[in-house]
Amino acid sequence: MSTPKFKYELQELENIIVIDLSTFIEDESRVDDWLIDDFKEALKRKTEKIKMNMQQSIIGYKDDTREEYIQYHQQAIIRLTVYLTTYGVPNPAPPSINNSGIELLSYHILLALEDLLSFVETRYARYFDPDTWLPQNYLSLTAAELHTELDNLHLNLLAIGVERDFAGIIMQPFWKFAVAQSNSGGTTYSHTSYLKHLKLELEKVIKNGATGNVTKTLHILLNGLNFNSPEYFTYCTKFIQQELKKAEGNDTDELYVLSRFYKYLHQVPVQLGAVLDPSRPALFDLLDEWLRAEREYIEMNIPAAMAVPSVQGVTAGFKILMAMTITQLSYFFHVLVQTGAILNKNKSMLTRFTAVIFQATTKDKMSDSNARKKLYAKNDGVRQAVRAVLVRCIQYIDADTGENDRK
Amino acid sequence: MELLHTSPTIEITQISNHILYCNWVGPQTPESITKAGATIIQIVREGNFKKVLNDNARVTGPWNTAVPYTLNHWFPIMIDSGLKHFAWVYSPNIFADLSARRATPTGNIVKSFYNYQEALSWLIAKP
Repeated sequence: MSTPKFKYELQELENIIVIDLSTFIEDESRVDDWLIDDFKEALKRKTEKIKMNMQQSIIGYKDDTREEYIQYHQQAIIRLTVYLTTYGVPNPAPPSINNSGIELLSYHILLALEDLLSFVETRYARYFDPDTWLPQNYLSLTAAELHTELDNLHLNLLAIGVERDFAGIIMQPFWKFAVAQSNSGGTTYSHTSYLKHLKLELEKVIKNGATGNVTKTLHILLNGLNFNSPEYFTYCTKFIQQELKKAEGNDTDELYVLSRFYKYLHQVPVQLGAVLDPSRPALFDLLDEWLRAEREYIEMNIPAAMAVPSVQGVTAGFKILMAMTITQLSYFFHVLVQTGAILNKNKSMLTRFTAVIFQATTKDKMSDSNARKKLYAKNDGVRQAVRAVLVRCIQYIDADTGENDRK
Repeated sequence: MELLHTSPTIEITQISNHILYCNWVGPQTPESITKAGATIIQIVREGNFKKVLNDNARVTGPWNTAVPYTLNHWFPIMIDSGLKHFAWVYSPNIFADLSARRATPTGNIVKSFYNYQEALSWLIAKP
């Protein structure tokens, strides 16, 4: 086994866990309140010192050694956490100071190790290995931690008015994790970390449950955390379908409903790297694709002859024919609004008016599902088409200006 | 070096005319501490020792229950008995270390160390 090319920063903490705690039990020692307080302070000083040392040490290493250094310490923290189970599984909730106090000491060491792991993960994300497989003992510990008040979490979600089905969908990954640990086990750090983070965020929502729209807050949270379970995706699409049903019969209203959800989806920032199930597509992509497909379907079915506002001297049913698809036309108007060429503030009215006044062309190949998918997969196709129209306009003006100058 | 007292929890040795070396060993109980404490006081008085090197390097585990006795009872008597300089080598064991920190009085008489040699050098340098 080769000697590491770097400094091991956890020696003092390791001594506490491996030697001092062991002696504590052998000697049948006991602690009292002030010693626990001092112990907490000492651990805090030691973890801060470790963080500072790591920040200083890493500067002196080359990139490949840095990665080795961080992953070595990541593994060491996990190994020490596992070692804690030698003294019994540390209670993830603060235990009382009965018996010798060993539970309480283990609890505070566990917190210190979690703090360090979180520091290494966030500070050195570039070198951190989120896909590292965790030993069974660590998972049992995490499972115990996640299980603490898990039933309460579920009940509290229901208590703040979350629909039963929705609460069940939110709780499902926690329950799945518990079952996986009692069977074969085996999961990655990033997954356990995700669940811990999700639990904390849900507890925050519950705490502020009485204020605001809880369901909306939860959707924002789950979208932001890329909660991409199939059940949640289905729940979201069902929810949108219900809203669409209310607007049934009026295509522009349906488009408006879809635009609203599209807007919500695009306005929620997704936390970088967050994902519930890395083997599945991101929730954002799934919903984005679904909304686009739905929107296109409605657009394709808008009748060509919609009622046109009566204007003197204009034939009934008259429309301005545009050499653009509906999506391109929508984007074209979006550009005009965004650049201030159109001053109307009421976007909903504008959308309706546009749909009634302008007749978009739909190329034959647009009905081809492959081409459609290609076009809607990203907005680039739409952007390029609109850009080409605008460039042609500018080229015309430039040419016209040159003509006038020559005259 | 002359051995003055020995028990399962402490060895007391005379290093020089003025320096007394107290080497505590293993886990400590309130009884072991008060008993050994009384012995040290007696030796300090009889031998007129001004300097003590109190070595906790081999102490394991907390002795928090004896902290009030050490801080409020034992140290005042030691100072009354003529103690001028007290070099205290703390234990690498966190629980023993925290107990010692709590029992250390403020002022210039007591100074803490994590190394025997440094502690001895400090004591030798004192008048």
